[in-house]
Amino acid sequence: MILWLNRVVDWIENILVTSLMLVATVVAILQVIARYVFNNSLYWSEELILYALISMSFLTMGMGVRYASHISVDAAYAFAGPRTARVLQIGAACLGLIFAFVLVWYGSRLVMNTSRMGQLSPAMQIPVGYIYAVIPTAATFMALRYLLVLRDLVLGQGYQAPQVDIKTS
Amino acid sequence: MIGALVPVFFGLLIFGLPIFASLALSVAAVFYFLGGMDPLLVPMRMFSGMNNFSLMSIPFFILAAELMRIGGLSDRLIGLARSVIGWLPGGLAAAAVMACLMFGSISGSSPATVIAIGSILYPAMVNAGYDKYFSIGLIATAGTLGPIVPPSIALIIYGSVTGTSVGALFAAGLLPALLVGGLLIAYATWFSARKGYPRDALPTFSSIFTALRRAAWGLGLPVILLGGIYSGIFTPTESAAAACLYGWFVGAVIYRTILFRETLIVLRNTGLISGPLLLITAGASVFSWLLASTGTPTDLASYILSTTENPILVIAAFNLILLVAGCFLDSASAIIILAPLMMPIAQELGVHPVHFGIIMLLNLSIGMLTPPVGLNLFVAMGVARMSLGEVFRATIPTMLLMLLALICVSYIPMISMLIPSWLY
Repeated sequence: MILWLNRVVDWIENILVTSLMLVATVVAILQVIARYVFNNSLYWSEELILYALISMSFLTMGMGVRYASHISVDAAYAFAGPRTARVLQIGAACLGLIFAFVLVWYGSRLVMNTSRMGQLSPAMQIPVGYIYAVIPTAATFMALRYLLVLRDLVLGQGYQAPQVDIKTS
Repeated sequence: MIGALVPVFFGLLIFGLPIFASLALSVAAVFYFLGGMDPLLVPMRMFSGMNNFSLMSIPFFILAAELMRIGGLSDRLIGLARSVIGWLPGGLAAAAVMACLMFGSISGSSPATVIAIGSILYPAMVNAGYDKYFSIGLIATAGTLGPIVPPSIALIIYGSVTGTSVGALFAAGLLPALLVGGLLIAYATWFSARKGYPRDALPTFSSIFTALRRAAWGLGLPVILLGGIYSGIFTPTESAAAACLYGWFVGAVIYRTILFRETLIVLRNTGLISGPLLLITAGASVFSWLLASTGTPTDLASYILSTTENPILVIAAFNLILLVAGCFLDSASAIIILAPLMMPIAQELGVHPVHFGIIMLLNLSIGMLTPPVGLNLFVAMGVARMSLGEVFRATIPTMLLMLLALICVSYIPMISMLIPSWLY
């Protein structure tokens, strides 16, 4: 179940992160072209780039756990013996779950409060509540990632992050 | 409240929770258990911490550098560096430093520079008979030139937190980068001459020209980036976007290494690199916001200024604090948390905000080389297949040179301020 859900989330996060990066980059280039070639600033471009990249960043909360690419202090693991290290890692994963839960809970409340007040974004006039919705969503994905890490740790095999296929030329 | 916040943060950090999560969760915990404020402010402040257009240049700078790297840029820059200074004793080592300087004008990140140059030159140096500890220590340290040479992710963050011009900060980094690079090249040459490492033949005019032509497309990128910013045509974010278009054009059309699939992979990887970085700015701004709302910056300022008003002592104290902070924090969170505390005091004592930004950057660059959180060490461990302890010991001689450069830059404002004073 956890494995299957994580594979689905892998797929969703990959597609969303790639397309949000693509949209932000293309719009940023269009903005430059519009301003200097057509002498016409796009009123919505800055806001779209901001919201795309902020959503992208929240979505990498879970991806960062999956690919072990978040910056953290793991010095304690090196000094402790393998069994203590495992206990510490399980503790860290539980703290990660708590953090994810905090973001799901308070993030959802933030979405509901903002939607109730009907706040709209300044340029594009989108309800800000919709944009905040990325926080509880991404936090749910992160919780699934931490459950996967926890499963591997409890089964005693230690979590191995998949290698990212960065072509090093 | 602050008395509880800092220990909770360090507790979470030592357990191994990611830095961004430790920052945000410690604030949420303080709100929840001590009351007074709604923890709902935590996700809201995380969002607004990233909601700043000048920060959005960071993913674009990373994307441009990734596109160039996949197009085989590192190889071409190394070729150029080697043909220019490879004839020195230990030419390969000097070329490694020079290649990091050149790669730094495309990349704004320290670990990325270590990977780009180190993954090619470390094996080459070891094969040529260089000491492996000397080689990896030199490369890990030279990697810090990535963010000192403009563009620089750390300086973009400093600029956005303190309201300092990013263009002026970039310009201010140039001479300090040449100082660090010069010291490292001098050390590498001295060490290699003593050990009798090989040197290349003296270059001819045509060999330099060939190498220059091979690297020309890559060197066009900093021309667009910096030319765009300093001619006043582009904002830093716009110039980063233009650099992405240029990088993609060079990769897809000129070198034909970046096709549809590679474009998607590069975009995904850029997301995976820059997302966690922006999350750190989000987490750190929650933390910094709580410090500010409890009046910590003014308390600290009045405390320090009542103790001493000697700028030399205060800068020395700040340097020490930053060096210690650099051991435990990455550059982005250290800047977001400490710049609002320190910069006003430094300014009060007559240190220019741009100059102070470079002082912070150099301190935190040394922090990239100190465990437990020293990102260059982590990357170098992968490049050299060594343990953290081995890599750390290997970097100590070159790190001392960085300290020397730090002292010069701290107390000679001219090194940082000369070029910005011409441009602005």
